[in-house]
Amino acid sequence: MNPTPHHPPEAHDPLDALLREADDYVSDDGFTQRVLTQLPAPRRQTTLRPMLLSAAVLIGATLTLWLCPTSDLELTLLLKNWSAWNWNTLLTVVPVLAVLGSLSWGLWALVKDEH
Amino acid sequence: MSFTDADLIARVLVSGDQNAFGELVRRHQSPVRAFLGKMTRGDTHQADDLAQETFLKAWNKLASYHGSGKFTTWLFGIAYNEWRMAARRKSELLLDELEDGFREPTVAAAAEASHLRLDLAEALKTLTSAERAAIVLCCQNGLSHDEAAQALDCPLGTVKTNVLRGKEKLRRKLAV
Repeated sequence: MNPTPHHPPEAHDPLDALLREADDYVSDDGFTQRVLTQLPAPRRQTTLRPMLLSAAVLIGATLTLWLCPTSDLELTLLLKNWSAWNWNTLLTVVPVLAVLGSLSWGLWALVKDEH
Repeated sequence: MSFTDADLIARVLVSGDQNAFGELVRRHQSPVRAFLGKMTRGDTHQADDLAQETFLKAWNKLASYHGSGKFTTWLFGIAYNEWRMAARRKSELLLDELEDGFREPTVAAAAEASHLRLDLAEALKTLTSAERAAIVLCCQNGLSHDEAAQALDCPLGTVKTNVLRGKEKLRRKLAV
């Protein structure tokens, strides 16, 4: 069975042929350039956001360490004696690690934004 | 290596690549400007202004293009909308209806037009805007009736009717 053509009755229609063959190509003539110059400037992410973030993290870190019940503990000592950790130690170490992680993320975001 | 429309759209969406968008404009400016040229009855300045608006809108709304239909169909939709808004401002739609009434009154006038053998561009100007849009999209730009209905935001049956009616008028004007 032959497949049905897409537009069988119009295939030999002179009007269809006339419409299809009408050469309507419009040359660019600087049109694209005009459109591109009208585009809004690419949204440049401001460097303020990661900077504010880093500052907030730093302040938070300072406050956490300052107000922490066991802030007088030395971290290196804690890490060496990890088997002797208790809830108080965890309360110190976890915020410190979280703060360090946030700081690194903030700095990474800052560097990435600069690039 | 040439990128497909989908590749270019993805680049625009991901990184706001203006060069990729420029390539899209270069590819599609001709059919969009030609379409708007016909909708404005040959007013190339207005057509170019509307085409420019069309591409600026496309840039802003590109995220809303879901890729379900052809990119050209989506662009024609924006272009038609731009023209419609401009026409509404100029009350051209109202005039259109009146002109259509004036142009189809007598067999003698139609016969005279046939004898004059108006060229296609002139004959297209005599159609109503809805017929012209349907004819240009379906018969000149190869859109299916479904795609044209989507671009013109009207029912499928309306597009089919407008294509048939428009062709009938063109046949009489051009005597083909």
